[in-house]
Amino acid sequence: MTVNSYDFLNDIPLFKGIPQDQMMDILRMLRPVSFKAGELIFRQGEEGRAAFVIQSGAVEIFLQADREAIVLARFQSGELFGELALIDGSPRSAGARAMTNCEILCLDKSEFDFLRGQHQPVAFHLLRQFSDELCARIRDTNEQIDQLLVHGKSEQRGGPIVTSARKDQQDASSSNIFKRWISKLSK
Amino acid sequence: MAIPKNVQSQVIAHPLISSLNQEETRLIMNQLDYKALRAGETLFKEGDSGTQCFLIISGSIVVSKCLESGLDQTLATLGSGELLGQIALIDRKPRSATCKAGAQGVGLVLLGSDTFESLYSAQNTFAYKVLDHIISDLAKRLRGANQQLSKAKSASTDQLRHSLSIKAAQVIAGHRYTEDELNSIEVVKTDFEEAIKYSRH
Repeated sequence: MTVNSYDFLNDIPLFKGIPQDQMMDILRMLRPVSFKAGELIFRQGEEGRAAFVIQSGAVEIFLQADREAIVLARFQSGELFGELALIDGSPRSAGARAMTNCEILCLDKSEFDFLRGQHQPVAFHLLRQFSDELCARIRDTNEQIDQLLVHGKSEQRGGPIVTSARKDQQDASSSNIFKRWISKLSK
Repeated sequence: MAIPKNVQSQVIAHPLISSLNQEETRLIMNQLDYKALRAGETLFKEGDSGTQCFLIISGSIVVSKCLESGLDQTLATLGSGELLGQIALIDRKPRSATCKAGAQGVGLVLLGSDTFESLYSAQNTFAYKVLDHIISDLAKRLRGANQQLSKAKSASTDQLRHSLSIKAAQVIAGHRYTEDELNSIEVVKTDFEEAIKYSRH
């Protein structure tokens, strides 16, 4: 890890407010990895062993459905993804791919579990950040459910069922994440 | 109100408290409040502000939500040992569902966000356990709900879309489906699609 990475960490929401001494724990824990544009970061269904913070580049999260990939979300520099597996160790619910050449910091589950088990101060902080992120995503999912229940029927009228369902899927699943992404990009 | 003497042993037996040491338990018991509701009484309504979370000590809570055309839909029944209201505790936003006491009434321990914040700042073990419990629980709900939601979005009929959407809402509300039950509609869906395919030939 370079001094550069340290400065970078200070700007990442996940690590904001962490005192200097705890930041050293974080630095020790993170493993930098490079991915080339188009390279797969993790596959849907595989065991999740890490969460990722993008240092540079952009990543897309996708579901493989038949022959086409449905993009669920896009993440860019400073953003966190894949953290669900870090929390519960379940298989990846979607795949992740580098959209551009990426520098990514991996937070390994084994490291996190160790801190979590020890109730280290830095684990407190990470748990808090994860809970914020999860609550936001739960509310987002709630909104999508409401949209489906209220608008699901009317949107389908008059069009071929499959096409309209696919469109619906792409629109609803990515709209909120896109909004957040775009608002970040335009800052 | 403070935790009444006659329910203290039940409170101490709650999984989030039972693993604390004596000193931690004493500290926490002094900071928590207790509330009892009779059958059918409302704890909070969807859209209410309020940042307390609740540990169910006895009885049950029925979670419902107003979904499409003003109909109240029961989503989950939560029993003793379970936690509710945790999302508002974390993000301080309005309640996303309505919670009422179940048929036997309910006994609850209240954890207010101010108490939680001060415990969190002091790196108190209880705050840690609550947080750890919340993220594990929410991660599980989010996964389950998203799984149903993505099926709902590609559902081939209105009826199927509707039932999968409700299922997603139930999972978020804390209803515990088994893995088999979560996958069961997949089977129905396939049958459905097969039936449609054949009916066209």
